[in-house]
Amino acid sequence: MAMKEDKNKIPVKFRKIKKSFMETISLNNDHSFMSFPKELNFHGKEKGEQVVLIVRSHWIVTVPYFFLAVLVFILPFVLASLMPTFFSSIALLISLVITSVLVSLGITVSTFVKWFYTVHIITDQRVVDLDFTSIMNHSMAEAQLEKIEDVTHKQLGVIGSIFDVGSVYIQTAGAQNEIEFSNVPRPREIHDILFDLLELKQKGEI
Amino acid sequence: MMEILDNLSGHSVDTINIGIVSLLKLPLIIILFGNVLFAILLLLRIRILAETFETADNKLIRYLVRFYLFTSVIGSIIALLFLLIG
Repeated sequence: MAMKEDKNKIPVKFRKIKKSFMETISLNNDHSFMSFPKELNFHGKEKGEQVVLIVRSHWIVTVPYFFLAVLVFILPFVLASLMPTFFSSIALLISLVITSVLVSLGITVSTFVKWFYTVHIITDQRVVDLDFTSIMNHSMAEAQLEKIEDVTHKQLGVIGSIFDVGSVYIQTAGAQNEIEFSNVPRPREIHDILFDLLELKQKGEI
Repeated sequence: MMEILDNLSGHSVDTINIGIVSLLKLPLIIILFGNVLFAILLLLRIRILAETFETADNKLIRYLVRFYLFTSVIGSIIALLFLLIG
């Protein structure tokens, strides 16, 4: 669901900035890579803090889970065709089909929710990493832009090359853990955005 | 003598079949209960996450998870009824 570039959505304080990331950040935006989103708020956001970019995992990462959901869905039909005597009871087969439908629905919904709430936010002041690790827990990490010491990105495998997917690692000062943006689209651009924002912050331009 | 032996073998096969079908019912019931529990936990989790990360799409996610919970409860009741019949 790619959107066209919308110059009007760029906030006033970013319009005059002459940095390489400003030329590409608004292009080909979708729900995995969205620049200057409106109506977005997160826990601990300061007044006047501008969200520059929100990044989620690339959709290709969710494909194995959807395949698993399809496998679970067709499993009773496969079992019934392989062992017809075992499933001679229609009532048992129907209950197995309903169970497989519910489980595959569960896999699909939880995959989508996990994708939606595993979000990485880059603002003009900090980097926020919200991870929906499992149904029982989630974690949130943040680092001020000034605390960022090093940014690296890795793009591995054939899938990474075809879909431009990779991971971005942000090393911060102190005992704080490294922040990782896993399997995100356009990792090179995220790397560039972070470095340019860091430079702008150091110069006091944002 | 042979008839007696045939009957004996026939009875034992039936007993094993009934045993396997009954054994299959138990994991199905556990999976159905687990699925409902999973849906409830997911709903509780997204309530917290919706406050942590607020967007216009949060409503859509909430409706989706509520639909999943509703479907799980209704589907589980129907599946349990069929299990009891079968």
